[in-house]
Amino acid sequence: MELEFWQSVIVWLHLLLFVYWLGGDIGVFYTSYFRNNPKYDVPTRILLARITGDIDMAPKTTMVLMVPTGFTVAAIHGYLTISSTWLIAFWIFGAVWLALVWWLHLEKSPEKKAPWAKFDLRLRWALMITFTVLAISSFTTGEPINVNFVALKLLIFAATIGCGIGIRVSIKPYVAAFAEIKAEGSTPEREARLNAAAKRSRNFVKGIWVLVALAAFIGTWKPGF
Amino acid sequence: MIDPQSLWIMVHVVLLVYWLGADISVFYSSLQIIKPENSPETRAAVARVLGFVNFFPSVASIMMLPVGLMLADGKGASPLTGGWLVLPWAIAGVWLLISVGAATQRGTPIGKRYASIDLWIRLVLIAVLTIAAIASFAGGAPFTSNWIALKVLLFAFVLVCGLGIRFTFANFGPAFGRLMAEGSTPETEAALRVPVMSVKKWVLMLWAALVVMALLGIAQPHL
Repeated sequence: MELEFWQSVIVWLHLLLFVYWLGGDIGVFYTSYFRNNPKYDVPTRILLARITGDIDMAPKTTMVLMVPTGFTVAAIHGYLTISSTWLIAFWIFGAVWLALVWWLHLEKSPEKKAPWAKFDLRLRWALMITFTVLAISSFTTGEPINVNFVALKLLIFAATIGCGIGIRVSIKPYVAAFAEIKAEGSTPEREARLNAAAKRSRNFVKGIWVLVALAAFIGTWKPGF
Repeated sequence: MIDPQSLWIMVHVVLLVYWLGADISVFYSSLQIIKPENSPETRAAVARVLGFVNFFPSVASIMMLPVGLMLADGKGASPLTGGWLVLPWAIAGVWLLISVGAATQRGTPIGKRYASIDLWIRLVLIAVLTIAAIASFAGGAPFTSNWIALKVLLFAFVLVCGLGIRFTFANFGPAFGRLMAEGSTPETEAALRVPVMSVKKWVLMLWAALVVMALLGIAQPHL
């Protein structure tokens, strides 16, 4: 179908989000190997941790904005039965959630952050469940999404949220070990704990890569099934 | 079955991911390297990360041209069709090897030879692509769609920006070597800062061209 120019702009935003999600992750991923290497001194690793944390805001930002752009792209193509009021609500939700994600990144006080980080995590659980339910309902009843490949994309997106939760949970021992290394220096035991947690969370990261690339592939292919 | 055009679009988009998406890490890390409060050892580590991640945009940018021509052919808008498509792939393959050689053999005589061949390939491509795009606007050939011709022209511009980055950044390596050998001095810090700061405008223009090219590819406007 021929798109209006503004519709092309939304599809373009959706594509650029994919670019910065997967592309930003490359930097995060490779920098993390240097950050976890005891060969480098602690100030170097602290800086590398800051760099990974800052670059990681690219994937974090894009994931949030995938929600409003994704639903809007689906609506533009007529794949989704949704009122414009709901679409506007998705955009407002995206903006507010994005503000929260950035505040959690910029705020330095762990005490202030803790309740909101917990809220963010619960929100991700809620979204994962909601999107899974919507996808399954679409497969079985054709509502709210009337084509299966888009419903599959929504299900895949729910799975990426799941992987994101997996990262947040599996990284906890890492954060503790890194804080000890920062405060008291490197020991083989701390490095072992650090790298074990990093290894577990990398599986979730790779999961996200596969899922996001798969979602992009399905979006390009638009298979009818 | 999936049609080949969709597969090529996917490859085209993934190349953009590894180009534009990976570039933010390179850009952000380069700003950390010039901060005097970071120790030379720290900055050397960041430089290693940067050098590694920068590999992705280098490869993706070279592969973009043959993949783009596959798509243009799929649209029926390019004269390179059928067996002729081997030509851009062969050129890109050789160019890739030379570019990888220039990066891995940097500083050696053969590395310098590779770098100068790479430079010539880019200069020739800038000329050829610019002429092809302008001829297409004016005479409807070789590319029969103006939006594709515009993407070709913008790709030539991207190559110009790449050369701008290369020449602006040429002084960075020696200054970084001085930092490693002699430690931080106000002169060395200034010599590090100048190339990173002046390379910014080239990088931003390159990114702007790439995102505009992406929009053109999606909107496919009748120009």
